[in-house]
Amino acid sequence: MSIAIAARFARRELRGGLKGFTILLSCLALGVAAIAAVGSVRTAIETGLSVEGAALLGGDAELDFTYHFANAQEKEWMQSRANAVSEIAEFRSMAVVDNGDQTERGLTQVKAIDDAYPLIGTMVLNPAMDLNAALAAQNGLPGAVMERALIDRLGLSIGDTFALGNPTISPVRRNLA
Amino acid sequence: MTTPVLSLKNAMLSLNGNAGRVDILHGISVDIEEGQTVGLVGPSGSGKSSLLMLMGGLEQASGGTIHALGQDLTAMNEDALARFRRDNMGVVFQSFHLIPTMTAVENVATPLELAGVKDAFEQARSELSDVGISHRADHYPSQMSGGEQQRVALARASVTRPKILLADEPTGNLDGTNGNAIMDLLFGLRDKHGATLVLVTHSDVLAARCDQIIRLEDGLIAQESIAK
Repeated sequence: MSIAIAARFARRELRGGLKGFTILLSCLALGVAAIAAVGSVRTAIETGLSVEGAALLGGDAELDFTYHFANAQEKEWMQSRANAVSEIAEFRSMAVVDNGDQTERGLTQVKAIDDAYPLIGTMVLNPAMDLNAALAAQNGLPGAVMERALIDRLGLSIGDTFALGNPTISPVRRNLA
Repeated sequence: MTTPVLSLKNAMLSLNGNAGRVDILHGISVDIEEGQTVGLVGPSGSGKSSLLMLMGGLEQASGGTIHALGQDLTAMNEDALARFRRDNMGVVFQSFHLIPTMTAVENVATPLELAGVKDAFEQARSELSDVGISHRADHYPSQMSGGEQQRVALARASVTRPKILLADEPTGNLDGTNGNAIMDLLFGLRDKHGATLVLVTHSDVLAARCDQIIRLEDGLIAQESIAK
């Protein structure tokens, strides 16, 4: 079949209008919209990280050590290159609340910080209080701040105690997050 | 002795579907001579339309051989079959199968255009005139009655002057008056141009107009007879 005949038949077919292409056009529109949405979200995340990255991290850069603390040589290396260094430790643990007749448990990510944390930005708590005061020991138990979602899930209030593994920690402070 | 226009030797047709294999034609052998009119009759499901599709190369035989104008259809691929039909066959279907986005004259001109005929539209208009529907040449199928659409389909099937005309229940969707008119036109075109006509029909009256009647039952030829 020649190009001229094919073009002539195609032109006749187009008389049927775009009705036959409705599903195809809908799929194209949906696909383009999905790609545009993914692009928008990615741009928003990248912009947020570039603008707020330091505050989210609590510093300009982070060096991660798996299953061990930085040794003296590594600490010296970091301190020789940084204006300030903060050391934190993160690990997973089970938060346990013993209510007598029943026990609530929740898997959580625990972050242990030093006095220098955060190097950039400030930690805002709800109710408002100083981070050091929130973490100060009371009645022989160390303090903690906790994400609201976990507080609600475990049924805790400020001043209650919970256990991380074996030791019992008190009081609970709410983290505005 | 002349070579038959259509010659089937032990032609078989089986289809595989979700319900399993269905054997439709169990071994059909028949010769149809040039210029003959042949009526294929029989109860529903006996294989009439399937046999016609085999003759036109529109279905691939599961076994046996099918020769049309001396050429083995079972040895051709789809493209070769399409070219063979374009050059030698005209087919009329019960449900017309006109192209809805084309006018009557464009529908009739299509096979001529595909064959590279330069005055395709002039020939198409002349053919529409022959079937008495020239006043509808620029109308679309949706603007025409069933009888008018079948006239256009007849014109499209005969405009290339095919050596073989195949018609599958061409009056099945029409009332008695229109049906008779279409059959008169079909036999008139056949007489005028001398094609071999194979006609599937439920009507013994229509079949009686043919030179030869082949009665099918359960995928086999139950009876062959001379009608006139």
